[in-house]
Parts: sequence; C-alpha cells; structure tokens
Amino acid sequence: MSKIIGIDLGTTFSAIAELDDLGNPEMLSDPENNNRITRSAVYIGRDKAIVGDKAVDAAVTNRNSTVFEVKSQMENNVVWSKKDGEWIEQDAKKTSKGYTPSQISSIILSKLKDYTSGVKKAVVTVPAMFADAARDATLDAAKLAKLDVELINEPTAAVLHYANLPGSSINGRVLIFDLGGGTFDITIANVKGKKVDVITSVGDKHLGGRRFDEEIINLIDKKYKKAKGKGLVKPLEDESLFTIAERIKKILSTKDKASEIIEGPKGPQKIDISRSEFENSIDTYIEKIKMLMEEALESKDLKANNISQTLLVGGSTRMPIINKVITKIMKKAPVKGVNVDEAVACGAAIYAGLQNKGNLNSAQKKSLSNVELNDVCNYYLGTLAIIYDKERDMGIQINDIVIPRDTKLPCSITKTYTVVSDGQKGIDCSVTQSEGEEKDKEFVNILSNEILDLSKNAKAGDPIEVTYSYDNSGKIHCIFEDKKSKKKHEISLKPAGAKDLKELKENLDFDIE
Amino acid sequence: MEGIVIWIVIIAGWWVIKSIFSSAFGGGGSLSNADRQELYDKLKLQLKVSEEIPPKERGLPDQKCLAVKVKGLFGHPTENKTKIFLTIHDNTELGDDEFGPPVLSAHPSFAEKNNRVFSLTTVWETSSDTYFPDWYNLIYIPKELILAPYKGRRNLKFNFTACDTDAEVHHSAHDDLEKIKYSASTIYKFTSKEIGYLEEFKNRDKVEDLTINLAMNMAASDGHLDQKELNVIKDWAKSLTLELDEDKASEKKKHFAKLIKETYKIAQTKKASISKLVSEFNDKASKSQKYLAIELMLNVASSDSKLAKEEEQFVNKIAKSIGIDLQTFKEMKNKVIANVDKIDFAEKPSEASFGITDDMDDAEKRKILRKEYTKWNGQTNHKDPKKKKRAKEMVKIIADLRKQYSH
Repeated sequence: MSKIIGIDLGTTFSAIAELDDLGNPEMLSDPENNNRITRSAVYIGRDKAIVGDKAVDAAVTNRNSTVFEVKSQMENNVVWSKKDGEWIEQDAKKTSKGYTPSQISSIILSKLKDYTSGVKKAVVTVPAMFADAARDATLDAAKLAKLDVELINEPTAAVLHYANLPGSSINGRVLIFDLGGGTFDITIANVKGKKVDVITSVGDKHLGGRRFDEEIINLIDKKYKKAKGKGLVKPLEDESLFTIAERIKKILSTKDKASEIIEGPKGPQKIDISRSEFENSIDTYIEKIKMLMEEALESKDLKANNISQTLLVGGSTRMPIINKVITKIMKKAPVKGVNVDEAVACGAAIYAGLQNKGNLNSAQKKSLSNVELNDVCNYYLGTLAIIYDKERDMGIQINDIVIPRDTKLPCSITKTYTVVSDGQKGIDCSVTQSEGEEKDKEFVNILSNEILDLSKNAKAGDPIEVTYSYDNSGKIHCIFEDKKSKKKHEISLKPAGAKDLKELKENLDFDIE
Repeated sequence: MEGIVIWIVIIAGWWVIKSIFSSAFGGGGSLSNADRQELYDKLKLQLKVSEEIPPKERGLPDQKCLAVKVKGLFGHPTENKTKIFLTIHDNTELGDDEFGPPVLSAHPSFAEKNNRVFSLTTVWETSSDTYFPDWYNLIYIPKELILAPYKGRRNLKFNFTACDTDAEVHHSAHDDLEKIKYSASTIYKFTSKEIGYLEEFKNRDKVEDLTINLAMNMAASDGHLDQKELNVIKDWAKSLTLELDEDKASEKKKHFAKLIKETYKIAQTKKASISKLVSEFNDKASKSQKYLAIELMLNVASSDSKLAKEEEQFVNKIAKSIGIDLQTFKEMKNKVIANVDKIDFAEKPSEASFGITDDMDDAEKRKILRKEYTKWNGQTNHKDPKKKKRAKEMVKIIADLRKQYSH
C-alpha cells in the first residue's frame, strides 16, 4: 500500500509528514540527525548533492556550488551557474549551463522522500499566490524525484491541520497568517468541525524570514563600518553572516538585545543589535504585511470582529512584532498551540489522505470521514474584448473578467459577447489570468491566444458565448462558441509541468546525501 | 450641411385627432366646441424633458439623467402596433420647427445600428385609442452619453414620433414622412462641456499640430531631445496620413515635416509658452483628442526606456490642465511605468504619482496606497520579466511611502 505523504517544500526549510495508521499526520525526521525540518539548501558537488545543514556548512567554503532559496526562482527561466555562483537567465536556445530551479528542488524532494521508504505519491504545498510557471516547475521537480504529485496551497494545508487537531476549538471564520522563510500568505476560511471552506487568499511572494535576515546583515555591516572604518566584504553573499543573522533574530524573539562577534576585514568586532533597531529595519516589510491583512479583510467586506481566530503558520510568526501587528489589526491576539514549522506539512498529509481515499485503512478512513475542503479560484480569469470607452470616447481592447477571483471551485461561468463588425473573420479567443481585477491587457498574463474562425456571413451583434469551467484539480476548460454557426473553439489549461523527462534530467546525475 | 439630413416633420394634423375622436367616442356631433378643445388638449401628444436622478430600480444610481416623458394619444389609427422613435437635434441656430444636426450617443444602446447617431426605437402593442393620460417616463438618458455637435449652451430638440411599424430612421431623419402618425417635440437647454463632434472635425488639423508641438516640448523637457523620441512623434504624424488619398497625404506629410522641424528647434531652446499651447489645445481638442495627445506624450516619454523626472512632471501638469480623468490618466501612466527600464519620479517621495493630495487625511492616504500596492503586488507574477521587476520596485516604493502614515 502506497504511503500517504505531505511535503512542505519551503524557501528556507522543508518538511515531510505521513498519515499514520490512525489517520493522524506524523512528522518524519531526517534519520541522520533526527531533525523534523530540513534546510532547503543544496550543495552540488562533482558526483553528489548534499541537502540541509551540511549544505549550509559547505557554502562557507564553496559558495558557488551551494544554492539557497531555490523556491523564489521557481517561476523564472534561469539556471544556477556554479561558475558564477548565481542564477543566470536562460535563453531560448538554452545555451547557459547550469541547474534549473526544478532540478535543484527535485534534489530536496528526493532527500525528503528518503526519510521513509516506498513513497511514490505525495501532496506538495505551494504558496497561495504562486505563479503558474512556478507550479509547473514544482511538478517538474516532483517528476524528477519520481513522485506522483498533487499541489495544495500552503495556508489551505495549514487550516486543514488546525481543523483536524484532536479536540480542536477552531471554529467559525478564521484568518490563517502564514509567514515563512520567503513567502507570506493570508487565507480567510470558514471552519465548521472538520469542514473547511476557503474564502480568499492574498500574498506576497517576496516577503519572509530570509528578507529579515538580510536587514540584520545590513545593520551588522553598518555597525562594523562605524566601529572599524571599513565595511564587510559582500555581506549579503556570505552565508555565515546569514547563520549569525538568523541566530540574532531568534534571540531577539525573546530578548531585547543580541550580541555577536563579527569577523571582518579589520578584525573581529562585537556587534549589539536591539530589538527596536531590528524592528525599525524591517518596517517596510511590516507595512506590506499590514496592507495584505487589510486587503484580505476588505476584499470580502469583513471587519476584524468578523474573524473568530487568527492562526499562525511559519517560523517567522515567532517574532514579537508580528504578534503585535496581528493583535492591533485583528483586535485580539493570534492562536498559539501548534508547531508553526510543521502545520503545513501535516495539513498536506491530511489532504493526501483525502486525495487517496482508496488507499486508506479503515481507521484512516474513519478519521478523515468528516474532513472536507472547498477551495476557491485564486485568480481572475478573463478574455480580451473590445468596448467603447466613454471617458476616452473611443473603442479600446480590455480584459473582461469571466471567472472572478475567490469563486468557489468547481465552477462554470458563461458570458455572452457579440461580433464587432459585419464580415468579421474571426474571434480572438484569449484566456487571461491576473491577481487583480485588471481591465488593461498590459497587466494580465495571457495563458492562451487562439482564433475562432467565424462564418462568412457574420454580422455585427451576432452572439458569441464564452464558457469557462474550473475544477478542483486546477484544470481550466474554455469554450468560445459562435451561436449562429455553432462553431466552437475549446481550450484546456492545467499546470502539468514539462513532458520530456529526458530534457528535465539533463546534467542531473549524482547521489543525494 | 454635409452628412446631416435636415428634415421637416408634418405634425400629425388636427384631422387625425378629430377622426380618432369620432371613432373613439362615437362621433363628435354632440360635443360643444369648448368640450372638443378640452378633449383635444387632454389627448394631444406632448413631450417634456427635465434633469432627474432616476429611481434606484432603473439601475442608474446617482447618475444625472434627462428624463423624457410623454403624454397623450399615440396609438396607430389603423394598426395594432406602433413604432416609436426618439431623436435629438441641436437646434441652437434654428427655429423650433426646424431640425438641426443630430446629437450622437456615447453608448451603442442609445444609437442607431452601425453609427453613433442618437436614436431610440421600439414597437408597442397599441390600439387606435391608446394614450397616456398622465406623464409617462419614456426613458432616462444619462447626460454624459449625449454628445452634442458643439460645445457650450445648446438648444436640443427632442422629437418623439409614433409611426407605421415599417418606418425607419437614418441619421435622425425619417425615410418616409407619410409613415408618421403622431409627433411631439420639445426644446431642452443643454450645456455641453466638451468640444462637439462637428467642432472636432473642423479643428482636427489644428489639434494635430498642437499635439505634435506639445509632444515635442515634452520630449525636450529633460534637456535631451533624442532621435528615439523624435521617431515616435514622426511615426504618429505619419499614421495620420494613412487614411488620406494620395494628394492630401503628400500635402499633409510636407506640412508635418515642416512643423516637426520648426517645433523641434523651438522646443530645444525651451522658449515655447507651454501655458499658451495648453490653453489653445484645451480650447480646440475633444476628449478623445486629449487622450490621444496624452498617449503620444507618454509614448515619447518612454521611448528611451526611461521615464525622467522632468518628463513625468511635464505630462502630469498637462493632464491636470486639460481636464482629463486623472484615474484614467494614472492607468495610462502605469502602463508606461511597467514597461520602462528606469524610472525617476517627479515628486519625492512620489505621492502625487499615486494620486495623493495634501488635503487627504492619513487614513485616506493609507487606503490609496494600499490599493496601489494591491495592483503592483499582483504584477509580481507577470510573465514579462521587465514588468515583474518594475512591480517589485513599485511595491517597495509604496510600502516605504505608506509607513509614514501608519501609526
């Protein structure tokens, strides 16, 4: 029987959980050190790859061969160049040599799946606002790691875990505050028993603990320079400074001041950093957090008192400033009680159980019998149409929304448009996607752009029916139909990753430690 | 007047009413003259127009509309259906019984098929004695949808006709006056704030020249008038000649070549009076021409992949002084911001660029900036790396700005 596995593939830390025989999620540890969370750092040697703390250690002497924060590159067409020690753009001819983000991620996934045996299928978590390209790359990574994978949004997985905690008191409309190492998501959901209905999700893909560490390093550099007259050499490329910054951040979560001896070009120097200095240095990020919280509430016409509880997820939520901000905006303190580093992986394991009901034993089936998850569409899906713009007094092409964001899945929506002019030859069947309600086509991603040929006698005003359907697996099916001639054009879209495994595997031939 | 058909309606005569009286009331022999007059006054088709905010159920919340109301007899004398038409004419320079150029509609639902001339047509089931005993709300027309031929105070003639079902109206003129059974009209004094469509046609050449002149001055505002900027202006001028016949196009090209040379020289010396240029442009350009000019200026500003501080300042000022919708302008500018390599905001720390004004309180400022953040944060997933990079920069600029208002 295949194991029921959930994986939190994080920016700075990753984790794996398995559904135990009784249907409860159980964290799996690295057999080498018994750690339940693994650093998402990868060292690429000549014939082997190392994942975790050892990779971080390797970075001190071999920075160019060590990759951090691969998750933030999943949406980009880049490769990690060991020669340059950085991500470089990949051109169309793929002339740049190096490792793709999906290849690096596959190394992390392979390491995690080896914490137990017989793992063939898994649910992998991604940030709620992860781009399609990033989702595709995650699926590619899973293929390379020989895993059959389903994706779930991180905060959704976390709320599933919260709702399934034995004796859980989580009920009503909740806000899931997920601040990890590299991304920040907020989800609002209705929880009733073990039933979870997602209402909305918002997020920032470039906000998390690693950014806060960078600000601490900037503070260290400034103080070192003031004391010694000369700054540190390329401090943001020095992984040992990140380790120190992380330590300082952890100390400042419980104390008002942290001190470290810093080795620099002018010798060692003791550097003190106060909590208020640190909090001031990250105030731009804090402002982003406030804006996203306000946006999540306002987009659903909610006030703080409409939210029963705020649930914390992600290691960065341990910072006192986060607690302060949440308490101020939500007018009550967030709920503490679960391990914020493990909630996402545990929720993913529960979701894996829901996706594989046929493989569950009777105890697992019973445990998950009342669990239900209803998700929403995280984007606006639209098409391009011509309208008369009253203000500019001219016809302009706009993005017209077909499926609004936060529509419950599965859904199917039909809108009717009309042919613009007599004798028009075709209809532009564009499928667009955007996070915001964008009218301007400049600000949307065009997922597909095809043509539906019209009949020769097309007349202005002839109806064109456009139907978009979106299912729970993320599959989008679009039909553009000329009602007069009954001609149809159908488009199916689903993040699936690349098909050519051989191409994906290029250069990737080593043991994983 | 070219393209405009001016027609005279033969008002349905007294005999029609009389004959209806006879059929509807069994002959008029027993009525006194005073009774006849009273009945005629009661049944005479009448029209009135006034400015109103429609009731909520009409779906035009808080929109200033012209309420068109009819009263009296209009049912077709012999058929069981009546086709009605409502047309609007600008009669400012004409007598009340004449028909001036039609007004246009800014929305197709109030326009004739295949053109923009205002028209409302519908067919009603009627009998020969169908009438409105009291004022009936025929329609609410949003004022902003009415496009008059000229700017300023205009006498608009609203004309309601009840006709045979095969009657047609083209460019506001009935194809066969015999098919009109009843009609009524009224004059409404309307103020058109924008240049009218006939003026736009008349001023077109001058507005094109002014647009080129403004764009040239904008290009020179940062002290460098480079070839890329000049090419955008040249291409724009060239596009204006594409639809013309050969002779006219060649004449126009020569004119533009001379104009571009002259304005280039003046713009480089920075001696042109921008306020004079703007004032003349404002006086002559229609709304759509204003937006086209702004679009050209933004294209010129971004042609060297850099939005310089002076350029942004210049275009901001022009947008404010020509009275276009600043939200629409901001959206147009966002497109440029998203695509340039380098950006150098005019006002530090860019508050005006986001539509923040000094009279706003902190809560308003926070709200505006959050909306801007939401917009740009959504763009950090864009497939175009340039747009994605710009979006990340904008998100940081906005958060930096907003924190000073966050307590």
